[in-house]
Amino acid sequence: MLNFKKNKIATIGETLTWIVATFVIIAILAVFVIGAMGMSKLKDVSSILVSDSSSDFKEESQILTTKTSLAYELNNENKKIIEEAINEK
Amino acid sequence: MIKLQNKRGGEEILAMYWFAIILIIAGGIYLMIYYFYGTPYDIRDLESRILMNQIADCVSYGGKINSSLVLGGIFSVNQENFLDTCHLNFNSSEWDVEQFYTEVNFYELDNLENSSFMIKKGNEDWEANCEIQEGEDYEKLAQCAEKSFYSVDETNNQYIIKILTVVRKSEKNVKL
Repeated sequence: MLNFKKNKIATIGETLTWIVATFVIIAILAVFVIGAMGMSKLKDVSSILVSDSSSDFKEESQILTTKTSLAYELNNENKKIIEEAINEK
Repeated sequence: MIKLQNKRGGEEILAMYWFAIILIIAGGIYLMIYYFYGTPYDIRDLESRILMNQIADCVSYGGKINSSLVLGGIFSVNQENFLDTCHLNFNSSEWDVEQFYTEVNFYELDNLENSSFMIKKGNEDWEANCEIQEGEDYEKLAQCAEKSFYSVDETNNQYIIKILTVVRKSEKNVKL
């Protein structure tokens, strides 16, 4: 009687181990799948470049500002009106 | 004898368990690959900014407006030849319909409300997409870039130039 009870406890313990192991495997997989989903959202190249301070992307976006500065060298009348108009548009 | 049969049954259950585990892991790997490699890189914003810089370089260089566009305060550009003048080609054999649109507006300082001259090239259908800048479907729409800068012509007439560039190409840049 005692021997039968011991066997039963051992069987339950083994089954429980497998169930827990299954949940652990599923949880690890879920973490990786969620990670892959998150990384796929980072595939918008411009958002990566904007956040990357070492990239030349910010300098690239300054081209029009440089053009304006060069034009001021040629004619800098009405500077305030021009600045306002550029910011407004 | 009965004990042996039970043992065999236990082994079969364990084999099924392993088979189920392999299926779960394979499914997980499939999902990871599907989500990561199934989403294309979205470079349309970058492309529209590059297009804008290219047009800006064509319209004005070194602070002066291209003399083939404006000469002595008179707009002399031929709308048809604008893309050739700027070394651009919006017609790609990859697409049935044009995927680009650009609009260049020249404003004189005494009339900043209405543009003195406008150049429109490309597929005008995509311009409406620029109105919608948020929401779930925003990423699937054409991407727009708009900026203004100041330039002068040969006779020092002052202009504010506003450039709008639109790039669609949603099929290649977004998971539809």
